[in-house]
Amino acid sequence: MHTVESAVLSGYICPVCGFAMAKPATDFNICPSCGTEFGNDDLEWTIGQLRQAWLDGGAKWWSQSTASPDGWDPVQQVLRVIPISPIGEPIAMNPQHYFSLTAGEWNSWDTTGSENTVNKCRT
Amino acid sequence: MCLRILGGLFCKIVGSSATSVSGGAFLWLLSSITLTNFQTYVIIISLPLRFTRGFDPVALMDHVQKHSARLRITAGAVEYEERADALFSIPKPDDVLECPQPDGDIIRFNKKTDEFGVIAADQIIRTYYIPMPCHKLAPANRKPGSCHHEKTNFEYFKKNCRRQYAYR
Repeated sequence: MHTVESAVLSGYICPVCGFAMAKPATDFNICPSCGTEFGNDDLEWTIGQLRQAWLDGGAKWWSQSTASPDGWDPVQQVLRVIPISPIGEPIAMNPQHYFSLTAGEWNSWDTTGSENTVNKCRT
Repeated sequence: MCLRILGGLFCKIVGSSATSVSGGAFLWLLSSITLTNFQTYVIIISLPLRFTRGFDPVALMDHVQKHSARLRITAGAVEYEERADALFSIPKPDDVLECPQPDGDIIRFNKKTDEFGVIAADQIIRTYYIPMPCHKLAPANRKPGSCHHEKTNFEYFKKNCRRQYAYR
């Protein structure tokens, strides 16, 4: 059975939005959460660019045929894949955006070069 | 929403939004069944796909959602899958270019229509769409995931042929 835990263990986490996909993020599989088609979109754009576009669009659930999980929380979900600073705070690629998403819970961070930072999983 | 089952299509229609089954000439409407909660299920038999095994049914609707507008698909998943199947016609049409990949995938590109598709070695279609060069879009619409950076779609096809799935 597909669960978040099984997806984490098998590495099927969408690197763009952090959603636990039923299939790997390869082979033109589309993430139902952010709509990224892996092998197509990520050939032309960086993961950071795709993530930023999804966040800028309001981090909405993308798929019309797959329902979002009960209690779906895009902010908690994306925390799985956004870069983490040395002191454990998320490094926002667009600090203002994260600030608004989290109602001011986080500080802003300098974003220089953050797109190329190796992602660390918080879970 | 439609699922292909035993060569037929099983579509769920809510209210009057029947666009996904408004179908081409290759469809025959057999019967409709009205179930509870005002949901009508329509069983449609279509000709089996001729050249491929079609899409993974779980993946099909997301591909339709993502790519059908640019393909000017009007009959939903049925038309989308039929047209994807046609791109992989055997023998290969003269206007279609193809390149095999080391893992058994085959990429095809129709240089007249700009249709682009990838099929796996097991004859399941992985994707089908018309790419869009970013320079053809207004700057405000050049969003990540909406276009590619090559000058033409033919260049995009060649780039895909060269990549050899290095991300695997």
